[in-house]
Amino acid sequence: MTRKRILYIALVLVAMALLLSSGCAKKKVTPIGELPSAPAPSRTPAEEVTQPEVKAQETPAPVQEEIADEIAAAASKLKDVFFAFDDYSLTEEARQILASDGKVLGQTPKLKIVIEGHCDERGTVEYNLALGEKRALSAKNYFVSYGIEPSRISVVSYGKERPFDPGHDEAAWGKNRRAHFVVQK
Amino acid sequence: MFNSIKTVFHGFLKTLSIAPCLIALVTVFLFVPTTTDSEQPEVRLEIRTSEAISIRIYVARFASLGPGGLGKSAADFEKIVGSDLQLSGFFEMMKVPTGDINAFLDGFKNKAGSKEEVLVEGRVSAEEDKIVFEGRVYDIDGRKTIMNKRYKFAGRALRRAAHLFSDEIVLQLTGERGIASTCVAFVSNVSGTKEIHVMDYDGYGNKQVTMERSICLSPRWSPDGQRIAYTSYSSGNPDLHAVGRYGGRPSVLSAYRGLNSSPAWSPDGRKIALTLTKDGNAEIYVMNADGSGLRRLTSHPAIDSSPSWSPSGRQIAFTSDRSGRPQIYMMEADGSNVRRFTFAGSYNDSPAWSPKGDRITYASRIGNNFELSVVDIAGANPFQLTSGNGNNENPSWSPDGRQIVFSSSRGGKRDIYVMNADGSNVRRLTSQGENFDPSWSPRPGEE
Repeated sequence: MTRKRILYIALVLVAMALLLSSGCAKKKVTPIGELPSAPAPSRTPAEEVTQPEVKAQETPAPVQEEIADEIAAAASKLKDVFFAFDDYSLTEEARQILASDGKVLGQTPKLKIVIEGHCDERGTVEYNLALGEKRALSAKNYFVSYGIEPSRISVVSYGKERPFDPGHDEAAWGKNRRAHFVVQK
Repeated sequence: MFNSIKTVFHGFLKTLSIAPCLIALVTVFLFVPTTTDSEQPEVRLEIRTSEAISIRIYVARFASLGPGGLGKSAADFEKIVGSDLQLSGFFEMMKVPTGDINAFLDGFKNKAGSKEEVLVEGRVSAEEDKIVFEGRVYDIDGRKTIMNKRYKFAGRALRRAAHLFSDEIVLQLTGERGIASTCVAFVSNVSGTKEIHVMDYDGYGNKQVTMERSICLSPRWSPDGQRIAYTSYSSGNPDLHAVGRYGGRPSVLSAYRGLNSSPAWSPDGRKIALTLTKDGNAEIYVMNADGSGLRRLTSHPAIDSSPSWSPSGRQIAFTSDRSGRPQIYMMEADGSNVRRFTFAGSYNDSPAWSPKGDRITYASRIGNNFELSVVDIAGANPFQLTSGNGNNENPSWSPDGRQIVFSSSRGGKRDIYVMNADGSNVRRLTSQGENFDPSWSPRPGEE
């Protein structure tokens, strides 16, 4: 073996050894934009992404019955009652109003009513739903004790969702803490 | 023998000529890495469980390949991904200071900092009438691509694709999937009546989902993300309805006389707890998700309302004023073992159990306003999350338990806001009309 050959082989061996052991330092970073047809990205299967349409569908409203004039006239005489903050008990003034309302109801046996319970805007949505119902029930219980047929009275609570006065002070709040009477349709 | 070795080497040399070998030799010597560790770096970076941000993300300018309009798509995609990663709260977000990513990475010295550093790149191209996005995450320190993704979509689905990509990045880097693909359902009166709306978690894509034309309240997502239960007055009585997340015809779940309100799906999606007043008083009941099998859980003349399930499905937190004023209580899912949970303050309501199971947030009247507080499940360490003007109510957790969406009137009217679970980084999501009662969706594909 010549010295030239030995040198030749040694060089090759060293070159191979170094190339194999240089590991992750041997490649520079090649970002996606530079790769002509980047093998790694294009082999990744494409995930199809869709965005469905949102379509709200109208809910049919319940059929409303016609109300006789005499019934509507009697209902318009019913006065609302008001409540103290966070309270569903009847004040003395409330009881007087309910007494006169009860008279109207007694005089118009065909009049069926819904008692709406309402709250002011303070307090949470859900607690006020329950409080509003308690206010409506207080009024209903009074009428029932007064002698009105319970089947003529239903209750619904609107919590704080249908205020009469949109203001943000006690004047508005006081108007919203109420039991309100409407004709049952 | 020597001759055969010689032949092998000659063959080798033919395919790998000596000149480049010499150059490679020289190159290797000049660019030897400072670490001599020859092991491959971890593909998945360490999971960080503490609040400390320890991953730094560089987002490169996303490229586009094709007609001019694609440049805008690339820019939009990049903006959404950057915003999602920023909002996740996990990362320190950095811009790549130059358009030449190669130069940027070359100049990146191996800093002895404690932060992991990754680069996010993307490219948008067109395929027929669809857009294709190819993105990848590159671990700068380990010099290795750790994630490749490719999405194909119509233009209208671009935001969704970008959110998917962001969620994958968060999954790759933290071990838990991101929440960028989630949504918030809420009540809005922009249409003239209080209806259920759905928007992306970042406030985009606000869509009306119901057309009840009366009053809708308390939307709550089913755990599979397909339906939203809510209370509707469309029949004249507050009934419980359910609507598909993309709209369509609502179904009636519960229509007892009186309240059918504050629905809460059990974590396995099989049951719904709700408040009924059919027996004369607001009590909590549970029924199957189709409305059958009604069972009463509470029996007390006080108002019992607003149930919230623990993530295990074994406990229910709720509001009761049996002590005289509304407070948070807890009971087993069968109604047994009722015990009071909050003692501080005169009015505590709307409990929301964290998906992580360890904390409960609720609305608490402090002074003249409602504020959100959070407390651990032992009832200890209450922490006030909000303060200032207006009322803060109706909290709902993100599915990863890291953020809370709520309604607040701090801006003069009720709007939907979101904040981190520690009360920081409050952002408003809605603008027009009155918006309240939000519910955060599960992650897509979650059961």
